Amino acid sequence: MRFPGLAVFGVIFGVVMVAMPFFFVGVAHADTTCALSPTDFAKIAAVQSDPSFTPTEEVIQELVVRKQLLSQTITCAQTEVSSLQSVLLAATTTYGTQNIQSQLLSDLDGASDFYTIEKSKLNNVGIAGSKEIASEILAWRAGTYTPLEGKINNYLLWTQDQSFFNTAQARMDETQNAVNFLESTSASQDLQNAFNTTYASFQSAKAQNAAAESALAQSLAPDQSLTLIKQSLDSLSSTYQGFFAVSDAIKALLPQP
Amino acid sequence: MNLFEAIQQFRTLSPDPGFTEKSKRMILASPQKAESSVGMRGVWIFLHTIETGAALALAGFFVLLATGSFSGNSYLAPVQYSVIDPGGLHAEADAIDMQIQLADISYAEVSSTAAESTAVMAGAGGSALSLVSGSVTSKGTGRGNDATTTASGAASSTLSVDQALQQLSQ
Repeated sequence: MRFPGLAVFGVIFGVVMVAMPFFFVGVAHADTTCALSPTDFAKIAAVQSDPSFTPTEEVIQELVVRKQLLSQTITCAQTEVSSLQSVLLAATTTYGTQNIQSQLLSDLDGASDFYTIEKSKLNNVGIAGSKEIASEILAWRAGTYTPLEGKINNYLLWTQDQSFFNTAQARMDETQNAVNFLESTSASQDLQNAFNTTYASFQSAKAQNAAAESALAQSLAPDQSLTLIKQSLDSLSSTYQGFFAVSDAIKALLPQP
Repeated sequence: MNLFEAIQQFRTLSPDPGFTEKSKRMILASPQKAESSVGMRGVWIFLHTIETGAALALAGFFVLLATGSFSGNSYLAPVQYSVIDPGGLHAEADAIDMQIQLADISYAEVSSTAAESTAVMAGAGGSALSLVSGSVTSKGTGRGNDATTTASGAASSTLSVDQALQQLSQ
């Protein structure tokens, strides 16, 4: 074969193009929402108030409905976990945060296992037992899953923030070069003051951003890490106000047309 | 002898034969430059081409440097236009403001979820869930779903997982 590289490229390109639609279909499935209708849950009350049932039939019917609804609810909870796993796996980990992501994924695996175990308990319980399982899951979600969900959301927010910090760092470097050059040719106190304020603000933003990463790595409470993330973004916003002031000071030094 | 006759005698002036012979020998004994061959001429043309190309490349480099088109100009050009470009600054600042709004939404969700978790933990411990006018009131925990719904189900088309579990635990 005269052009083996061309043939390899053609094969790979063809495979990718053919597989592309299936990939997107897979992603769409992972994002499927789960609908728990109030009408379905009203069936419990309907069975309880149906005069045609004998007491025994009523208990049997209520148990059937409760088990079916609890199973459906746990399936929805499992879908939530799968969705979070997909989002988390798609998040960028180029900022030395693989350990945080791995820990969160491991916690999600634990959540998935918990739901599987709870679902298996449904086979051998009565009405009271099904209520206990529902209470148990509810308490576990409040104490374990909801904080985990918060930590994951914070982690995703933080990873998104890093592109803003990289952009701001590049802008800071360019601004510093410009200010150093202009100060060497014509000293301006306004320019130097504006730059110093901006630089200090950016240093503060970076310190808060690092603290937020540390909070995520230590698996602190979601509100703690989120507070640090918010503070870092507020400082970054102040940094950009500083960039505007520096820009104005530079324009004042440049010859006007 | 007048001046005219003296000048007429210059016509008869001639060099000393001994000096002429000596000068001729010296000239013939000096190293003669050989005529360049075709190969040497080719090398000469090649070197000239290299020289011209290098000059053009250097000129092009300085043109790029002067116009700010060089990729490494952030280290070479003292003042970047982007530093004073208001459009770029506004775009980046706006993007950060949007991210702050996103963080604010997350913050509101975390706060409401924490309050709900406290209520649920109390309920799981045997206490009654918060009852408002005879119906259980709770807040959805799904991201971006802050709708407050009642357990009566009349005002909502779907229930969150927590709302469903609350109903099934009673």
